[in-house]
Amino acid sequence: VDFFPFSDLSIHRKLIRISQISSAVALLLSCSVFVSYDWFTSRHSLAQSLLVNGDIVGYNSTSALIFNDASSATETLKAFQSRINIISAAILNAKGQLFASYQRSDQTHPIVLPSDFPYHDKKYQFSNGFLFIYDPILSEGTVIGYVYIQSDLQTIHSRLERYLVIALGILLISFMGAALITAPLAQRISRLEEALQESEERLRLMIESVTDYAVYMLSPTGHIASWNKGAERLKGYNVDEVLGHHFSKFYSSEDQVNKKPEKELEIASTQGRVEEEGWRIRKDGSRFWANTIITPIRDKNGRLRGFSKVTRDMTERKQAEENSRLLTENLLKQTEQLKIANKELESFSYSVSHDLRAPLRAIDGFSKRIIEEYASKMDDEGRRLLNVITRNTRQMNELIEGLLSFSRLARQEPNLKPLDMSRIVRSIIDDLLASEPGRILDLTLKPLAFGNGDPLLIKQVWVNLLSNAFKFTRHTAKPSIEVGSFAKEGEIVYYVKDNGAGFDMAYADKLFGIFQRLHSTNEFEGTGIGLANIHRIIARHHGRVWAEGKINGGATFYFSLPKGENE
Amino acid sequence: MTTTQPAEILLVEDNPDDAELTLNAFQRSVLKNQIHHVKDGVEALEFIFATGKYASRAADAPPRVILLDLKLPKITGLEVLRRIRADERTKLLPVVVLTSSREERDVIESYKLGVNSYIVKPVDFAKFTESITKLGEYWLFLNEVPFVT
Repeated sequence: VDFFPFSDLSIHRKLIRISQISSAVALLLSCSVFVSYDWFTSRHSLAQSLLVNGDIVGYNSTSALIFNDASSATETLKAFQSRINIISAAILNAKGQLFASYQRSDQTHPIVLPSDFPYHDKKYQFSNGFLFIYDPILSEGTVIGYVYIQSDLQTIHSRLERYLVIALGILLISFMGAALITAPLAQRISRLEEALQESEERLRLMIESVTDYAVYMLSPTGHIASWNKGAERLKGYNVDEVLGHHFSKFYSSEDQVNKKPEKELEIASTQGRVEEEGWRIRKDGSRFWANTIITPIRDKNGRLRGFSKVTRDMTERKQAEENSRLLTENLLKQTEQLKIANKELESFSYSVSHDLRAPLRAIDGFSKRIIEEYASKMDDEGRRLLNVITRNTRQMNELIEGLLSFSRLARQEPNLKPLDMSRIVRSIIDDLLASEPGRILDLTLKPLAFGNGDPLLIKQVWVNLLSNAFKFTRHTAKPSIEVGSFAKEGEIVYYVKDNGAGFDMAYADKLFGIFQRLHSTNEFEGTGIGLANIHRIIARHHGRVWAEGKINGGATFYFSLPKGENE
Repeated sequence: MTTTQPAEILLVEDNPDDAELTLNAFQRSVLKNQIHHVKDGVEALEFIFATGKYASRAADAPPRVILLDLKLPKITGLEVLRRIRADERTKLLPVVVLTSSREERDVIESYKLGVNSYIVKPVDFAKFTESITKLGEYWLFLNEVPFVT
């Protein structure tokens, strides 16, 4: 709030007005001092000079008074004619009675002596705009009469008038001078002022129109001093409802009790800024998660003038954070459960490994001992039945081994290396051919792209696929096997194609399941663990497996590996 | 110690069927009557250190080789192995783990504790018999052990 008298004027007008007033006041003050001093001295000197005149006239009238010669005294009084400001004069005898008189030519009334005459302590007095002289006439130390003079103060008045005219003239000139000097300055100021006003207006409009942020001002005590659209939108109050209110009304009652708003102002004013997040309350009572920044506003001298406060609604972000926190929590919980499940699987496979095989070994061992030690006491059928038992124990042992290898894969982390697939495949084929001497096969081994994989695990994949191809072409008239690779977006696909027994595409999704078999053990031996292992190994490499086939029309098995960074 | 002295094999095995098959395998070979069978880890330690019901056994006549199953009641095979290796009198004693488990962690743990050999019992009886025979021959005839007082 401005306590300046012309607060509604523009700055440059204020400036001119101020300079005018100050020069006028200075001039008037000095003039009045000067005039009053002059007035006082000129009155005194007038009185003194009239007294001198009175003395002379009194001296010249001494003999007239002694000899009672009134006409001579009257003649002497005529000397006052030369002083036009003397209205009337008189010679009084010792008793104060009129003896001789003089009057200015413009006077018509006879002389009337003032009632308070004669003075006892002084020789003159100013009264009613006149100067009265009462000068005693002495003869040998005795008062023989008085000279009385009444004078107007015309000379002093006209002198004062002149002073006034001069002072006014100077005032006028100084006003004009001031205007002349301040004119260019004022223009500059007015331009600056306009620019300032414009930018202030722009800023104000900008802040006004911001709707995503509540931007408002607080007094040093925290009372709301301005309010923008964003504040209105965010908090639900319009300007009239909050102006002058304390900003703590936006805080929860708990925050209010804890004096949080006051503390924030305290921190802002001591540290220069405070940023904080927390729940705030809207007019309708709903709450939102606010990010607020409070900055103190100080004048040039560092005096706190108030605070600016910017508030943003971060509820969505807060909720997103909350959601992601819950999600992460759930994920961690699930991971923990998975870990537990994995542990259980581990101990399961351990017990399978140890406990299931012991009885199997006993069945096999004791059956064999019967065959060996009691064969002579049995007929062929008895021996056949025992052989069935031992064959099944062998089969079950293979299943257990398969199960173990499968569960072991689940725990093994692939150790990725660039692999020369052609070399791996060739060595496996050599081994397979060596294990089946006399096999005649039409083998096509195309150049294979390098791939990134765990050497042991990927070798296991190739062994399984190739031995499958060997196995399922055993009853085919002209067996042929083709191995190749091709690039596909982001991955390299390897395949093994044969013209063997094939499979029904209706069961394609069952192929890679554990212990899933599409052929009987009589037709082709196996446990059904091989493809499940391939699936698991390739999945651990982030690749894919799939197959195409037709009954008695051959099968093609594909697996893919992701391309490395430098491929 | 020389091979002319009666050698002793200590078989630590809780499964009676496995024990019988093992003993049977030994009987088929040349190693008859040189084997002692205990059924758990406590009994194994009592035999080895001549305490408890084996207190009368001469402590200075330790077995030449111990065939140790891992999954044992009361005290596990790995714990038995740890105590054998921790004792000055037995820390050089040959110990062979004979187990059904081919779990990597069992193998690693056994070797860390200083086992001399780790054998997985084959399920197939013929292979099992062959393994036991070879095992006995190796540890009793081929292998040399330091002289222990």
